Amino acid sequence: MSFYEQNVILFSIIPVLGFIINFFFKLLKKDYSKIVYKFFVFVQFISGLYIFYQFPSNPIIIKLSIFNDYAPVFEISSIRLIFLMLYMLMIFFLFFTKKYKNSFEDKISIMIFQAFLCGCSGLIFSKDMFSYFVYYELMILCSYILITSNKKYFAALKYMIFNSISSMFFLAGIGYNYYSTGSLLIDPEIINNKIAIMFFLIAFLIKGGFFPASSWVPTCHSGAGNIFSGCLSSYAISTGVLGLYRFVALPSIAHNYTSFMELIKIISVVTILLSSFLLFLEKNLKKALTHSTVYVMGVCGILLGSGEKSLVFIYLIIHCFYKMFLFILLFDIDFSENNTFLHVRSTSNVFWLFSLAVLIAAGIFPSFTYFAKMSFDNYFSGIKILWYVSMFLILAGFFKFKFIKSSKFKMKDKKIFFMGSAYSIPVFLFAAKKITFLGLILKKIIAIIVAGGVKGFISKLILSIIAVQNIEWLKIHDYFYVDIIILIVAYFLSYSIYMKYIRYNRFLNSLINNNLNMELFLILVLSSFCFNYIYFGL
Amino acid sequence: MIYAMFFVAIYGFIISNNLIKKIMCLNIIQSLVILSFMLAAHSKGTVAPVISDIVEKYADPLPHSLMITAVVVGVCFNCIALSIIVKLYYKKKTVLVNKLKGV
Repeated sequence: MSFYEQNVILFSIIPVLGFIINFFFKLLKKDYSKIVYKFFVFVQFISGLYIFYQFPSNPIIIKLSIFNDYAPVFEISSIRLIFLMLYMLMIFFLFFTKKYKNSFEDKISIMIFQAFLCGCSGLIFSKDMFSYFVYYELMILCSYILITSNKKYFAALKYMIFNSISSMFFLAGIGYNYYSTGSLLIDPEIINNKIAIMFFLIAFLIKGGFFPASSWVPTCHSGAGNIFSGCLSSYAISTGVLGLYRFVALPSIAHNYTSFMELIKIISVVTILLSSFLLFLEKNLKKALTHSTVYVMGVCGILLGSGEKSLVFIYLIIHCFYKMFLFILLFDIDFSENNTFLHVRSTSNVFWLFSLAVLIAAGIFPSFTYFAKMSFDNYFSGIKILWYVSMFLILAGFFKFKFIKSSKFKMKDKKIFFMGSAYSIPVFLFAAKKITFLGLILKKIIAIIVAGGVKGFISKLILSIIAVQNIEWLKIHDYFYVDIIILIVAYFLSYSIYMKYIRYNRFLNSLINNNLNMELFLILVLSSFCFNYIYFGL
Repeated sequence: MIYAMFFVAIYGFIISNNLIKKIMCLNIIQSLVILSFMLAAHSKGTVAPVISDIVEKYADPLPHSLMITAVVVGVCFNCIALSIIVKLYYKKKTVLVNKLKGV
């Protein structure tokens, strides 16, 4: 076995070494846990860079035993490397942020977080189903404990209940697949049993926070500390999409089971509409951020269902970047449960950075998220209206929060420069073809900044519409006014539906107000719907 | 029998308001998944996979070894879930789901 292969196998074990050393240091009086934690995060980062640097042109499969399928198997391929990039982005933030002290106060939390990192990193290269299952369980078991360290017990319990249901579906899928094929390898050619794929689909729809199992995401992710919420929202939930890709999308493409892809698309559309609408109504900033995570999962679901697999992972990387950033920014903002007033605490850049990150979250031009959504319009008819409505709801949802104490904009600040340059890369790419659009982009940015600054909800809404519509200024087509009318009608329709039907409707209200029993019932309905759809069609 | 138990557990899991009962139902479902694995490993005429000269047909040993891991994960889940419920009870003096909204 070469050094490179050993490095791949040891990659997920590095955080566990930190865990063991911290366990022995726990006996000492002096606290070395944070130093050990930082050191091993750094070592893992270097190890990941080495895997990148030495990546071979062809995929490599590493088997730990001569019994082939019956021992842990690892694989290095280009898609796994993209997911490794996602993980490394997360640990990059963990290494460089100074705010982790507020999230993990005691030695035990740091140790458990190291075990969590082991679970996260093990998922990337594992090629056999059972080690995938074990790594996943390790990751979520540690998550439960880390959420309880923030004294949010019900949030942790809800996370446990939903994830254990999905784990059972996953286990049942592994069983079905094993008895039909006799193999545990995650290979699109091997996974050919329709029932097994069905179980995998339901399991990863729940893990990825898709409708109707999407309401656990705001409760659980907002229950954790800010840094850990960032990890959960940026990486842990993305593993649901990774699972959908490996266990559902690839096998259904290989065996031509098109109904699975259609099913993912249908559920993703509902997820996008529901999450953007809930974000529009949400008054808690942290929960609003988690609703946007569910929205991203929905977008990834549509991209995956349409076969844009590489775009999904690039979208997830961008999402990881701005979502970690937004959660770190929360340290400088005081917010309360039912109050849309945000008090900026110390730094002068929070408002500007927050606005930029929100732009990317909504998917406004010239962010990559915009290009990912708009570059392909052959997903299905009406997709553009879905994008516009969801983008508008998300922007309006974020701009309803008012900054109380926003300080002066400092152009020299390194952070602003960094964010601005990251944000402007797509602008330059786009400007290479049509430079005249630059003035229009400036108009949009000014509209966004004014929308964040002005008082009054209605004026913010109007400016949000301008911000979204600014995209269409690029193309100046005949239907420009039609789009504006659609957006306004969508807003008033959604608001009036909420006021008239949802607010007093017991069933629909339970979707918004987190009725656990109702959600569990809906998962049962989803399962039966999926089975019916696959075998009998709609 | 397994299917009947499964539906009873699902019913209890969805309808029950008590968190401890929910965890119990979840345990039943998990046990049934593991049991179905075990049953599927045994075909007719096979015996437990202990090597001896007399026996010719063995049951597939792999599911058993895998299920041990699943059982361990299940035990960890139970420990954490019950300890969280205890903490929740000390904090809110209830384990009923409908009274724990917004906690």
